[in-house]
Amino acid sequence: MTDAEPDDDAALDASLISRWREGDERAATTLVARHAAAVARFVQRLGVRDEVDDVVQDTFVRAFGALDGFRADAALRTWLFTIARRLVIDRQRSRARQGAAVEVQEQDVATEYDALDVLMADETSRRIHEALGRLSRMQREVFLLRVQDGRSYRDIAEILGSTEGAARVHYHNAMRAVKEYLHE
Amino acid sequence: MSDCRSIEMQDRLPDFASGTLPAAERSRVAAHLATCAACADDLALLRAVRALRPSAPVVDEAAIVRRLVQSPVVGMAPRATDGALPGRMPDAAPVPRLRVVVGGATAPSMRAGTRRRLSSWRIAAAIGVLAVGGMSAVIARSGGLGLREAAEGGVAALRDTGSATVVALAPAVGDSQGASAGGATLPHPGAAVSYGDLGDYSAEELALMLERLERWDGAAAEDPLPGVPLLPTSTTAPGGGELE
Repeated sequence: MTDAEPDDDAALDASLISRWREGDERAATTLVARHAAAVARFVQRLGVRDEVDDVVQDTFVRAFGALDGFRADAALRTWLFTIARRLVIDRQRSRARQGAAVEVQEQDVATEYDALDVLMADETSRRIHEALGRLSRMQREVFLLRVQDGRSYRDIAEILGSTEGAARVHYHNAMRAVKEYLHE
Repeated sequence: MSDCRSIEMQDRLPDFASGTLPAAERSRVAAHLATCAACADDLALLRAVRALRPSAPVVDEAAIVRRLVQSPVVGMAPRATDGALPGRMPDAAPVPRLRVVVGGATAPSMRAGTRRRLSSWRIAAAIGVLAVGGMSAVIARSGGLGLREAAEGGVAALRDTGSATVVALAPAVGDSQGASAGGATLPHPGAAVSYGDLGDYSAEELALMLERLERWDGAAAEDPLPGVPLLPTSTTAPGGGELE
């Protein structure tokens, strides 16, 4: 789902949500099937390992419980990503509190980039992985949301609580940093 | 290493790599790529980054759907009062669990005599019961506000519109799964109710609610409230007779 087909995707999601609210349980099945994998991949990329399923479940439950707050002309997946990200941050804050009394700010919460689950098929892939690991957390999240998830700058801004302009700057800075590292 | 001067083209490359550009746009970018080595290199990099995308972890989608269907809070979203925007995440605090009790056993006061039973059914038709956690809020609907509106707007909405009065609070009768006095829980998204914390009611408001309820059925304050069923506003009384 990208801005290339916003009308189709948004319209379909809106229709499914409407059917769900009218009592059609199959609409929930379709909505989950449409978005669960992407949400899971996003959650995993935020550093969640063993509780991906739980976070994805909580995301959908929370989203479905707050459908009144969802605008039909917006991207449902963007909204799900936003909810998922906040849930992950809340979990990390909770764990941080268990270890320390210091209040954890959102920007301080670490989202470890540890995609070594991916098999490094060649040197280039390994170098790209290293380059991504050297990016700032925000740069990496913007870059991967744009490149791997195909989210628009507007969606990215919404997910990360930033602005479209900042998202664009982060993306281009990340692209430049990755290219510089690969050409070292 | 050089960057292309066209930021617009650079911005289009991720979508080109994912194959999601519209045909006309795709052709324009392809034509540019044929003449711009920098963008061609960037495209190769973007495709390599996409290839590193980890496979999605296995998610039990059926379990998610089961939880959505079974959750009593499904569809019972807190109303946003300021026109919530997408991405506005619902409050991290858990939404109070609500149950809309539908059908169910006849309240004791409805069994005595035809006239009294019919009158009681008329009263019952104007009463909605919201089971909130371990409490039931009995709502008198005095105006034209329908039960669906009541369910969707919640007690707070009813209070705000002045079209109804919350007249009583009582411990919910029945098990924690939602059945109340033999009634059936309706996990229907359309019967969604959004509601705040019962603790918002002052002691005076609660006392007033109990007093009004006592005047209705003559029950003493110490008597437990019956599990009044939530009924549609039908002109047909149970048993086939017509309401007065």
